[in-house]
Amino acid sequence: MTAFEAISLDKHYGEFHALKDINLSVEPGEFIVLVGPSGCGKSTLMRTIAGLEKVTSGDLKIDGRSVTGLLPKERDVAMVFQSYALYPHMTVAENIGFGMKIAKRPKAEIQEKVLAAAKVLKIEDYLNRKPKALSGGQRQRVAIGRAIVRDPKIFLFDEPLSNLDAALRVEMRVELARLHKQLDATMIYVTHDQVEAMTLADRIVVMNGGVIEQIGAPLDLFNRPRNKFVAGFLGQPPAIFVRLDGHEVKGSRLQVQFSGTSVDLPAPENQTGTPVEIGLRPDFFELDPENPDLSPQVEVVEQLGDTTLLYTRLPDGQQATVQLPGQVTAKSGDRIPLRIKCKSPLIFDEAGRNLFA
Amino acid sequence: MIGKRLIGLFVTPALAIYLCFFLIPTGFTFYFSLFDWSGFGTEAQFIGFDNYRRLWNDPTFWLSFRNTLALLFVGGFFVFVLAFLYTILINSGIWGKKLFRLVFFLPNVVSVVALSAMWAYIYNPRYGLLNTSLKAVGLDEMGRTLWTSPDNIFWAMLAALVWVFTGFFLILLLAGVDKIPPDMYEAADLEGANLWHKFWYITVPMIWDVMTISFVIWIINAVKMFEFPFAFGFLQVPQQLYTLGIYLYIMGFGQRDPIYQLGYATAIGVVMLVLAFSLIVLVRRLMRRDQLEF
Repeated sequence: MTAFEAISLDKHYGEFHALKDINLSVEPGEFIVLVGPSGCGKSTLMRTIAGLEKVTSGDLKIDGRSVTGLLPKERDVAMVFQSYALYPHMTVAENIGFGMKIAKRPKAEIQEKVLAAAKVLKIEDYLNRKPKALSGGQRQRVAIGRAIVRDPKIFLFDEPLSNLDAALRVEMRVELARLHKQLDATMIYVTHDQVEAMTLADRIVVMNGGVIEQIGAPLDLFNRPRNKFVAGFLGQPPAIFVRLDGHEVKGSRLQVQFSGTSVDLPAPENQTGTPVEIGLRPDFFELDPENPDLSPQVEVVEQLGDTTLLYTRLPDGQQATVQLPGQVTAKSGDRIPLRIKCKSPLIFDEAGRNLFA
Repeated sequence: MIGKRLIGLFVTPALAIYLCFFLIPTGFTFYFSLFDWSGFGTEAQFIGFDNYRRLWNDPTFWLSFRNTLALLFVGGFFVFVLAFLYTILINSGIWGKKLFRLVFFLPNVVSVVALSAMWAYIYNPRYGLLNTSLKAVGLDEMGRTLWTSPDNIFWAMLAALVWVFTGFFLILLLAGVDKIPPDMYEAADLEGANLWHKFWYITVPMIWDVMTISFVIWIINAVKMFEFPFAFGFLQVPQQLYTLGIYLYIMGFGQRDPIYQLGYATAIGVVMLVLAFSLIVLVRRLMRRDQLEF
């Protein structure tokens, strides 16, 4: 039985069509990440799962049971909010045990469960503190603790790490992955941070403009994005797209010409579209002074220590970001000899579909 | 770093105003209360605490005092119960939140005299809205009640007063509720909280500071309540409607026989000040909480 299912889900806010025919099925114990730019509908989808927003049409099922018409409390889901939504007048223990308190559970049981959750999250020393006496990461743990004690069928996370600083975000990301393994719970997680999506998810759901663009395992989506949007969204720095000047199919090979160069690729299988654009990820380039495909002009150099990022301009005027391993000596205005090695080819037809998906 | 002299320079005007228009007049009030003085002429005679002794034995003062306390506690109880009730309802996501705010607040922008006239019509025993409505729903016996008879007039006035003030305090409480982040309620929804849980465990603690200031404003209003009961009594305010404010006015400025008794009236003023001050200190002490951060 699936843990969660959205069937032909639609959500309108007046004229605005926020969710369009959403179909999604989540297996028990799966960690699903909804990712997409601001306004793509990922938070709306999460809020409809929680019951905080009503759906316009379609059905939501949790453990095979339709919950579309049920109140949030009847759905057996727990949500961790972006702002944590901790009650400032309650202690950590009271925050975590709030749900059980209003459900009139015995005090001993509340104490026991709160302590167990606190131990999992390593916050047992802070149980008597108020949220204002906690750091951002500790507050985050309390919010997660509040979800854990309820032992819900589904955990919902709405951009839970976005208020933390970069270092803490990495730490909490690892914590969340550990927690998921420990609890073996079904988790649905919203973020606009693709690194979080790539590192945490069993499967990523990429959304754009209220529709699901693609669902799949992180590397499948990265290597074989269905369309230009997914290809451009996943990957940091993002891929660039260059219009092809022409293409030629030679047996099982496809040769594409662009920016005064050509690249030889294996011909895509089972694809009927005409190649019109190539996607180039920053790591598709290699330094090759002997036999370069391109020699773009360097505009900005960013030395990251282990890699060098070069913001360059191709002969046709388009910008291209190049990521080279190690510390490359280059300065603004230099022409840098590069060879293109498409690790996972990204060739798009006129409709933006990836011929290699 | 701002120098001490500069601080002094900025603070002096405010202190001077406070001193001239509050502390000195308050001091003078107490001073005048020790005199037998009409308020006119120079024949003020020092009588020590005689005015206070007289108050102690003055049944009209005690009637006014009791009425003020009834207004403060019974009126306050209903004002806040209703204001909280409406807060829960308006905050429950019902349609027309802004309209309801407007409707409840409207009595506060209408002249007190006009409101009194309206309530006089509502309470009119023969053709008043209340009795006509009661008769219309078959409560004939109750529909013959003389709401403005000496026995009933204070409570009739209090009911009208509650209606006027509920809207004002509702606006204050709702302003407090509006600053509570909505995800606090959403988190509670997911945890299974009902309207009452959300009100008791989230709204009340999170508008504690607004509640404190509302109670303080109510205490100040109630202790010096004058215009509404005065207008309610029309030209000849019956003693049943006397509050400390009305009694002070009548003794100081409104009674010609015997002559105006400003010394006695200021003693009533001092009692009002002490009453208000003690209650405010008590409320603030009882309601002291840590500042919330959210």
